[in-house]
Amino acid sequence: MLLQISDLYMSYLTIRGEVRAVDGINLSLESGEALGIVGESGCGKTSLSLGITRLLPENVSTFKGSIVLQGQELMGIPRDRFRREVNWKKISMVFQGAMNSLNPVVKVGPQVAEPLIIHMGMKKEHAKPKVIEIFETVGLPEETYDRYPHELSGGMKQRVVIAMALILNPPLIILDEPTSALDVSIQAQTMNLLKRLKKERHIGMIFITHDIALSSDISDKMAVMYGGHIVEMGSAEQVILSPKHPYTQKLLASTPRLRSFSQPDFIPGAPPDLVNPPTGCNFHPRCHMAMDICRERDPPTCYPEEGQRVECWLYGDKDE
Amino acid sequence: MGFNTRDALSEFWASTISKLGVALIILLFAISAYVLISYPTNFGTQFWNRPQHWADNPKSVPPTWVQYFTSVQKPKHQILETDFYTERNRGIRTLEFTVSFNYRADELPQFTSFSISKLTHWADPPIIRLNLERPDGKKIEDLLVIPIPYPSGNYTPPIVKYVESPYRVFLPGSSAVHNAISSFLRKEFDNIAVTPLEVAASGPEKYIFGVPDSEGSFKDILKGRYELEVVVETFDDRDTVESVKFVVGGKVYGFMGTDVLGRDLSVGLLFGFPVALFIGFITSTITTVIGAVMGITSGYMGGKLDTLIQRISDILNNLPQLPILIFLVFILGQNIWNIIGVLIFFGWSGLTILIRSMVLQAKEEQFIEASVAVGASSRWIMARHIFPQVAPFIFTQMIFYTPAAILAEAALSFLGLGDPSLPTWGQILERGYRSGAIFLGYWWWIVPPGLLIVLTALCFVFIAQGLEPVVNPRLRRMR
Amino acid sequence: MSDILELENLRMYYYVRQGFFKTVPVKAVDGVSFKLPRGEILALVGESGCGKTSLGRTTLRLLEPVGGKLLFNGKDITHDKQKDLMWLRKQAQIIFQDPYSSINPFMNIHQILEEPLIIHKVEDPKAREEMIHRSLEEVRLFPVEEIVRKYPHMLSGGQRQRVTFARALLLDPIYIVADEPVSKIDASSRVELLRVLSNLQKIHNLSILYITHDISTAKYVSNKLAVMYVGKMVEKGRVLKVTEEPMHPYTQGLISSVPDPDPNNRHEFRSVIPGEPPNAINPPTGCRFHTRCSHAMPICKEKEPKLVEVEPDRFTACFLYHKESVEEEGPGEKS
Repeated sequence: MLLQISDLYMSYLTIRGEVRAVDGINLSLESGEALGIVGESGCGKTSLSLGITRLLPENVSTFKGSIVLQGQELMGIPRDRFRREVNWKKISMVFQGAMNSLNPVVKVGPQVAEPLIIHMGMKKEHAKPKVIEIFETVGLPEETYDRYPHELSGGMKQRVVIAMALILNPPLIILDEPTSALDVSIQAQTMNLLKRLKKERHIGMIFITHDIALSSDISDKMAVMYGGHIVEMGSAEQVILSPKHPYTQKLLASTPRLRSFSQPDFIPGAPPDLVNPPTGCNFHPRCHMAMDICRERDPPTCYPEEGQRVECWLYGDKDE
Repeated sequence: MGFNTRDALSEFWASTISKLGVALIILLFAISAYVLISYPTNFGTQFWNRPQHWADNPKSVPPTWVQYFTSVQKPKHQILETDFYTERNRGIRTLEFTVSFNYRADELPQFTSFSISKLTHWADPPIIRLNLERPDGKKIEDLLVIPIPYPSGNYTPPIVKYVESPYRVFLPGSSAVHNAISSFLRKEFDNIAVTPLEVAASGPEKYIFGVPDSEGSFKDILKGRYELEVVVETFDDRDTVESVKFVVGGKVYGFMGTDVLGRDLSVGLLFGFPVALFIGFITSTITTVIGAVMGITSGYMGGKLDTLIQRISDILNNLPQLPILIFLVFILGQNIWNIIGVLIFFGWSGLTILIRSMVLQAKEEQFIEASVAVGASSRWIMARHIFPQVAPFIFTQMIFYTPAAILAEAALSFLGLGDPSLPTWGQILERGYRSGAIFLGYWWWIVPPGLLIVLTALCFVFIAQGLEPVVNPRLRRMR
Repeated sequence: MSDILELENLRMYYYVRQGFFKTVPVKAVDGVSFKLPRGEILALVGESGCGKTSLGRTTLRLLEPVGGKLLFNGKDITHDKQKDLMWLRKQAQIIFQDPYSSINPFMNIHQILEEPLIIHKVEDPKAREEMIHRSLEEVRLFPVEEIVRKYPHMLSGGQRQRVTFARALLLDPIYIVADEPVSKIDASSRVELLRVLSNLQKIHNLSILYITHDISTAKYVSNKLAVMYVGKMVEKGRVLKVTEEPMHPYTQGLISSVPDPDPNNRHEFRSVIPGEPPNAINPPTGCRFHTRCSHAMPICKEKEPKLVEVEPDRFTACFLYHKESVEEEGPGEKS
């Protein structure tokens, strides 16, 4: 097991109160496996990624649970040691819009070399060939080393960022909406690259997106997040072809499809307020199958199929 | 997103500095309102700048409350005035006024003076005699004899004199008094021979209010009740005198002391409040309005108009303000409106440049494009969409600029280029400096106006400081 | 009845500075011709830099063409001055992409919606109020009395976007440009909003130019689909036909790049269009797509293909379908 997260909770303190962004998350991931986290804005998926990589914002109030990576518990590690030993080496992250946070006045080659120089103490001359090697892996020509970010297209910049994430060969990469700023044709190229990396380098990936169609392009397992919870998790086949949670069902139904014609659906209402979440199941105000018990009690975790997990009263034993 | 006045006010009110600033401003306004009600508008020319008005005041003395900090009792300023006289007729018709006072100080008075108001005579002008009876019973006869001068040229009786300004005699300066004292001393104190010149040198008050010790030096003060008799010898039964005044010059005066002309500084300083506020507000308001209009127009309209306004404001902004100010005021004349005009003329450009850059950003907002698509004219967009976005910033700038204007005027006044008809704090400071108050230790003349300038500027700065988180959301506190 | 829009070889360039002294033209729209009849919704699809956004704004004369002709309801508005176009500002409206920045955050909904009415001289406040209420009802923003008093930050993204729809309807237009109206909306609300747009179109018989980069949404709103590439229109036809049987290699590549939710996707490498889109300052010679096209022939490098009707109501600009037609310099150019 590459990664195992148990009972992860994360809240922030804001003017309005405590925002329970991650409210009891459990997930696991094997090497070479891609886990797609699908959810809309405000579901907590970005907070989850920040929690795993320990990039906690200043106003975090609760951060507890267990994150075990390659058998090592990460939660107890103090921030400095995390930064030195885990970031880039064991877990690296590709943020949303990362391509725009490349340093505009430094050539991209040296930027990608930075983790090698800082974390591994390598000398600049030794780092350069490694950078060129990784550039080749992601499909960038050698001369990219001496280019400045503004000289590169969006797609190329994204590859640079992915190269930076790969340079220390971490076993786990977290990608948060890595293609949302890219054109559709470049997105397809980037997804092909990720597929290749997964296959050739056996890297574990957590791929976070709001687009369930895009997630299906890489994910072996999928976790659907809503209101800080994982409401459904299973294999890609299970989640897409036989979704159990009403939210997942509606999400799939409301996704426009290019190749089939179905009357599209939508979910009325708005995402829940994470300062004052609804009682019982977070989704009940918008759920077309809501029952009385959904309003009153938190739904249990149920296993309707082998390997598929859902938090919903429809599948639970009400006497629990 | 969204500018909510309620949130804004609570944000503003959150810091202590804002509360302090508001408290001070309210105080400033209250004082200014009081001054505007009780003072005439021509206070400067009619009162402040006319020495006769202050003639009876002691010169360059500290405030009365310094008494609490010293053990020495300084003489307080006493003005004794009466219009009641007794008419006597013993060969010559005399009008007799009497005033009496208590002297309790440990030091001599700064001066003594005597004045007479509204004298009417039909024949020969009257002669006035002063007799002073001391607490020890000794009487100084003919301390001062004033023969009223004959009117010049042709005249028809009755002659009415000393209506606007009284006839005033400054005792220390009168040789008649020196002689009288010398005689008095010879007569009353056997061994004391003091020449009139010596009296003049040490001042008559030393002997009027003094007692000699065993060696004959007048170090001690004679405390007690003094009675002054004023005898007006008239040469016609119709002659009158309205009132007489005797002034025992104190060494302390008033709430804030006096300056070298005897002007009550508390009065002058009070007058400075509304003047400072007026200068500050008028200058900053007009400057802000011009700067904002230019900035918004320049930023939104772009093109040649933008380039023109930009170049003009660049030039104006980069000129050294104080030398130009000095130069122009010198040429145009030392008039408060010229000063305000010059401050405005060179002040608007800074704001224009700032506002322009904000507008350049604001006009890229999509809702601006939406309004254009609906057919809004440029003027509409500037007024309805651009202005509300920059308005909070403009308002804060206006508040920030007010103390700058006040300080600029104070600086000009200090350099002697202020408007002399209008007593401002800067003017008072300047007078003090030029009269050597710093070297002479007249702190009450220098410190209060300087302090007031600084405090007034500070209270605006406090308010602007408190407003900043409101205007710039990034500075807001996370509570 | 004339078409709402008729474009003849329309060109719109904007100029950027290159270095200190040079300005170069960015050929955002470089010779586009099509007709938009009354009541038709045309989806305009393409990637960044293809010129779809510029084209949309040019049809409203928010940008001035540098060449070609633009006719609105039969009237030539190619070079009319802004002050003569107030009538157009009533009949043609635009809906923007970002619901967070396309309405003024300092004004409440009532003020936002009142603005177009005041500008176009609806004097009576009661009449304005009635028109505002009606608009909000049409976009299904209830309760109307409460909504009008709110400020934008109090509404969700989807609600704000409905406000922009309502604003577009106020002056009873016949043509609306919808520029990526749902791109910044949550996925689960997109379709709902598109349905609102579709209903409004049916009720008012509007002509809509639906600009999007998300080709999957096209068929839910529009009847026709046109694909743009680097300032040119490369394919146009009925939406289902184009998405199911794309003719132009670029369209084919675009469609194969877009995933549908399907667990099998991860096992296959998608066939993609290689390389990067060229820039609009120096587009390739001949057919602009030839540098990335797997079917490129020698003629594609030399001559530009024209958008030609190869089947009834089906246009494509590709030498694979019409070897003879060649792009010609049209009349009415601005030098």
